[in-house]
This record gives sequence, C-alpha cells and structure tokens, in this order.
Amino acid sequence: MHLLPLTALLPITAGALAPALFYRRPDACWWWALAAMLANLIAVSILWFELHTGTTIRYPLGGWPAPYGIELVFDGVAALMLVLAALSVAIMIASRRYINATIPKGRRSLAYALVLINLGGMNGFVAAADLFNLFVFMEIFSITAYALVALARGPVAALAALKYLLVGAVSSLLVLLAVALLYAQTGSLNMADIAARLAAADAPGASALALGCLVVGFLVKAAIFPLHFWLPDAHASAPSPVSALLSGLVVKMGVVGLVRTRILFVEADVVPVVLLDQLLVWLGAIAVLAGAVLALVQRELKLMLAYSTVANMGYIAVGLGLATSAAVGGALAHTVYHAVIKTGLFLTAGSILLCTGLSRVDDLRGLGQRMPLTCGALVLGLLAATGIPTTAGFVGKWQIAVGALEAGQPWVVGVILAGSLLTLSWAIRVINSLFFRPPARARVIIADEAPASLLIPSVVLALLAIAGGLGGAVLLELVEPLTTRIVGQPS
Amino acid sequence: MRSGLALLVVVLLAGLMMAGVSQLPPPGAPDSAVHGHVAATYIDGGAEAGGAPNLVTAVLLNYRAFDTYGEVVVIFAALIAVLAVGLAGRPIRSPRQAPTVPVSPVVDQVVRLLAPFIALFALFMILEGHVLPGGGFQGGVVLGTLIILLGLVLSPRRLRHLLPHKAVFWIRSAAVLTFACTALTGLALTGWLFALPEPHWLGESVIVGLELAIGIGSAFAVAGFFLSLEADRHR
Amino acid sequence: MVILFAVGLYIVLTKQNLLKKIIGLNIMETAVFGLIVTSGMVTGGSPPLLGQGLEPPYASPIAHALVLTGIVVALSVTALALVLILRVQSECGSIELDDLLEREE
Repeated sequence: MHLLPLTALLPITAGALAPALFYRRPDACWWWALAAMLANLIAVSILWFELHTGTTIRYPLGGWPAPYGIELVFDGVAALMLVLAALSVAIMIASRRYINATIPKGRRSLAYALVLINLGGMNGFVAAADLFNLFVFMEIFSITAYALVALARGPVAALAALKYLLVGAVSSLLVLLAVALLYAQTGSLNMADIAARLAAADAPGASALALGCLVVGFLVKAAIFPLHFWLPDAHASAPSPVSALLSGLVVKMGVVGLVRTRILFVEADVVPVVLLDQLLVWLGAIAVLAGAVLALVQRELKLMLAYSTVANMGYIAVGLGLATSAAVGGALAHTVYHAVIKTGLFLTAGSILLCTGLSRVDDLRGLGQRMPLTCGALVLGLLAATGIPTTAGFVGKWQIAVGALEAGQPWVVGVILAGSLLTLSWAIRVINSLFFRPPARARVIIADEAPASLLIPSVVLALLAIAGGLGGAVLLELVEPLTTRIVGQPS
Repeated sequence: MRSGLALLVVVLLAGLMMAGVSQLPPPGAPDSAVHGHVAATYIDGGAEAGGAPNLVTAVLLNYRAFDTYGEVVVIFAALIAVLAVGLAGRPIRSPRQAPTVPVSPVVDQVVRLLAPFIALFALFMILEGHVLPGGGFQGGVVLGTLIILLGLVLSPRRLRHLLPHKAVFWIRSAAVLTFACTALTGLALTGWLFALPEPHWLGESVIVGLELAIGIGSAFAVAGFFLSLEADRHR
Repeated sequence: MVILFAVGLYIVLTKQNLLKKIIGLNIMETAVFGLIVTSGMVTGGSPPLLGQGLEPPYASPIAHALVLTGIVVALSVTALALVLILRVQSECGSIELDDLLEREE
C-alpha cells in the first residue's frame, strides 16, 4: 500500500539525485535512470496485482483522512500507470544512443533527470484524488515536457517548445481557475467530496464555468482538434525518444483529466454533461478527419506521426463523448493501445533518423533493403495504427463504432471508416517508399541495421501493436468497472 | 482585424466568466462553505494537531505536505530545465568577452553593507515561519535575491568560484531530497508517508528543518534562474 | 478579477511580442490568485496565526497555501519561458512572432 505514493516519490527522487551524482559520468546515469524505471515498474506491477485481488487502494498521505488530507487512489484510471511504467522502460532503453549522439556531455544527466521527474509527475497525476494535487502534478509533468522538447537543437525546437509552454500554461491556468471555483463553492479539494457537496452549493452557473474550464484545459493537454495546433511542431521537433514519451504518454494525461472531470460531474449531478458529450463527439470527429488529412500531406515522417496522434486523440474523444459503455470501453482501450503503437512508431522513426540522418519520406526510399528489421517494425506499427483487424488499433475503433450505433449516431461509423482509410493511404505511401522504390540518397545505400538497443524496443512494441488485437477482450474486461463509473447512471 | 476578433472572443468569455463568478458566495462572508468544512477543522485542531501555530505553514507542511512536495519538485524541475535548455555552455559567439559595465561604487558599498542584514532577515523568515508570517519559500526568495545582488556586485564568475561545482547540485536538490527523507521518517515513525512524527517537539523540529531546506532550495533556484539568464545574455 | 483575467488573455492572444505574451500570462495568473485569496478572506477576520493574541474569525489558511503553491509554479514556468525566449532570440534573431512566421515560409 505504501507503494502508491512511492510511484511518484521514487522516480522524482531518482531524478533529483541524478545531476548531483552523475554530473560528470553521464553514462552511468543511464543505468541509474533505467534502474529507477525498472523499480517503478515493479512497484506498479505489485499495485496492479493488489488491485485485481482486492478493492481500490486508497492512500491518505500523512495519515490525514480525506477530505482533510491529500488522498491518492489506485483505481481503474490509475491503472494506466502500468502502461506508463512499461513504456517508459522501453523509451529509456532506446534513448541512450540518441542522448549520447545529440546532447552535450554535461547535460545528459539533466536530460535523464527531466525524464524521471516527468514520469513521477505523470504517476502522481493519474493517482491524484485531490483536485489541487492533480494541478500540481500536472505542472510537474508539463514543465518537464516543455523542457524536453527544447532539448533538441535548432530554432524550430525552441519555438515549438515556447508555443507548447504558452498554450500549456494557459490551459493549466484554466484548471487552476476551476479549482478555485469549486473550492469557493464547497470548501473542499477532494474530488469525491466536491462531488458530494457541489449540489448543496446551489450555484449551477459557477459549476458549469468550472466544468468548462476543466474541459478546455484538458482538451488542450489532450490536443483535441481546435486546440491541437501546438502538438505537431512540438512532437516532431523534439528528440525522438521524447517524441515517443510525449505522443505516447503525456497527451494521454489530458484524457485522464477528462475522465476524472467527467466522473466528478456525473457524481455531482448539478450540470448536465450531455452538452459536453456532444461537443466531444463533434470535435473528435473533426479531429479524426483533419488529423488524417493533414498527416497525408506531410512529407516528414515524424510530422506524419504527430498528425496521426491528433487523429487518434480524436477517436478517443469520440468514444468518451458517445457515453455508451461500448464506446467508452473502446476509448479507454484505444488510449492504452495508441500509447503502445505511437511509442513504438516514434522510437522506430527515431532510430531511422539517427542511423541515416534523413527524415523526409521521399529521402528514405529503398531503406527497406538496408534496414529490414527497423523498417519492418515501422510497417507493423503503421498497419496497427490504421486499425486493420486483429491489430491493436482495431479493438478501440471497432468498439467505438459499435457504441456509435448503440447511441444512434451511425454517421460516426462513417467518420471512423474514413479516418482509417485516410490513415491507410499515407501508411501505404510510406511503405511503398521504403520497400518498393530504388534508393535516392547515398546515405540510404550505406545505412546499416540499427544497433540492438534501438532495435529491440522498436520490434517488441511493433509485435505488441500487431498482436494486441488478440488481447482486446481481456483489456476491455479490465476497463469495464471504470467504464460504468464514467458512463454513470442513465438519468 | 485579428485583434478585433480576439477582443470579441475575450469579451464573450469574460461575460461567461462574470456570470459564473457572480454566483460564488460573496467574499468575506464568515459562513460561506470555504470557512465551514475543512478549514474549520484545521482551525479547531489548532497548533496541536497542525504542528505549527501558523496555520498556513501547518497546511503546507502537514495537512497538504504532498502538494508542497510537488511544488518543490516543480521549482527544482524548472531549474534543471533552465540549465538543460539554456544557451550556457555553448561556444561564445563573439570572440571578445561581453562588455561588462563597471558597478557604481555606491551600489557596491550599499550592497556589501546590507548583505548581512538581508541574510539575517531571510533566515528569520525561514526559521520563524511556523509561528509568524513567513516561511521557507518567502525567506528563500529573499535569500535568492541576496545571492543575485551579490552576483551583480561581485560578478557571477567570482560567485561561482565560491562553491565547488559538485556541491551546487547537492544544494539545489536539497529541498526535494530533504522532503523525501522526512516522508520516509514519517513512514518509519507513524506508519504514514509525509506524516509529522510524534511527539510534538520532534514534529516541530522536522517542520523547521523542512522550512530550512525549502528556503535554501528555492534561494538557489531563484539565483540559478537569474545567473543562467545572465550567462545566456552574453552568448 | 474577471477583467484582469480578460486583459491577460487578450494580451496573450493578440500581442506578437513573445515577452509581452509572457507578461499577459502573468496577469492572468495574478487574476486567478486574487480570486482564490478573496474566496478565503473573512470581513474583519485575522490572519490564521494561533497563539499571537489574534481573535477569531480567522481567514481560511488553505486558500493562502494554495496561492503560495500557485505562485511558485507560476514563477517556475515564467523562468523557463524567459530562457526559451532568449534561445529563440539567439537562434532566430527576433522575438516578434510575425517575423518568425514570415521567416519560416
């Protein structure tokens, strides 16, 4: 039970120690960071087993029971921590070469520290049961995310990081405003307690404003369509392992925030959430199409992947907004699977970038002959992203489509199908260029297969992405208790 | 055109916000929800339960210690971020040294004269923060400002030579590490992470220790921000 | 408070100078902190310092703690933003957003 706060404490403490211990020995720092992430993975796995043998784990920090103290909770939402922990280990394994190649020696320990603190912040965020605590940990992972983007060299990265920071800071501020509004009405900061006391405050306008602020704030973090503009630049110009971290894990925090908000307001039952649902469906549907179309017109591999993230976050928003149990289950499953797929894709794209120095799809022609395993992993990941049956991408999309039919909105199925077809078309363009075109660049001809530390995470994640669809039923069963909490009682 | 559109959006949003905020309980009413629920329990518990007569400190370091831990981590992360992404450490663009403006002797003397008093005041704020207004962050910022002032007068380079490079990183992470240590102490002595240990004098000394660590940590963070910006400006 | 927030948001949206955007952000932050502090105050109340001979009613200590945390967070974000602006300045030669966008094309 004491492991729950440790999931946040452990990576952060390791991150705080990293520059002090390893400032002059950055190579040893990689082992340190990896050890911390493995320890975190073990801790989270133990928590996960506890969750599935017993009930929800609640931890009152300092022994002060909620609402008087801060409470951490390991429920269905927080179980996402397991995905965070596992994928961060993969990212850490792959990032060694990348960091050694791109970051000056004196700063590598700082970069590892930032990654560790980022992970600790995300762990704290998904486990937070206290609204203000949620805000604080959101700031921890946000501020490290801004900095991680700016670790890349060049003017584009600096500007993208600044844009990310500005938009992110405004969205954090909206969340803080919502905290202020809810606190002023209820005098409490614990989310369950707020939900119980909000009706007594009798101020639907202020509650609606708080809901709006929270939703807009988290929509920005999740990069749902009109608020996605910061994402492509930031994710494409960041160092590749960071892109994997951001696109695979950090944007999912916005989804976690939306889920927490929805649970709070479904339980409080002062403001109808129907409007929110409709908004999510529409924005999500536009995001699916816009993201896919924009990905189609890009020339750079990483920009394509970044726009594909926008589209996939759209699917998740649609699923949450439809608010039937099938669709919400699909959205949650897609959150997990998209994390796996996109982390793998960005890591693979990163190793191509590192080995060849080329990022435009046209320049990569013929690379399939020189780096068959890496390119194979990329192809598998892309196929999974399009949602071909039995791949990981299929489960979520299928469930969301089923949910759309249940909710009586069949047009959504068309949108999902169109999005998948568009994704397939740019995926085929990439595959065609990699395998069926003669090389156009000298660097492609002399390129060698990526080293094992880059190859293994890519291949493992690609295989997971392809085979993930087979485990879809298990995953849907796991998220089911959470689904019922999000959907709430039909009123 | 663009600014007109933005103005429209902002006015619209402001109207919505006004409608929402106006429904809140009026500020200053003693019977509103803010004062009733959790806050009333804290005030009733008093210094005994809270561990410090200054209830703000009690909230920060006892009831909601985990938030403060997060806050300390944010400022540490920002410092690491500033060091990691800044320009310091890159080759200087122009071959000649950046021009230095000589410090006026008046400024120099005044800063030297005031420095001990500022340091004393900062320490007072940090150490008495659990009884009187003040606390780790406030005192730390005062201390950080002092370091900045000294840096301006003595030139940053000399300031850097005062402390070995390695020690600086330990001091920077002092607050985060001390917090982690006290969290574990709480676990060992009371069974809960982030709990203040019994008896009362021990809890109080833990609070003072934490305040000191937070003060030093934030002082070095504030100074670190400034010195790194200052170094960047010359590149 | 709402007006302050709106002014800040307007600045963030319209000003082309990145530094001014950061200032606008800080104005918005101040507005939110003000809102929290006013929600915690009591007319005729005293600061929540026990044992100093002050009479109840006390102002809510939680609001103060929240704002303190918020200020530290805002400070950290601003510091990082300033460093990033310096980097943009040195790498692109300008911090006016329209200049930067023009150059991209």
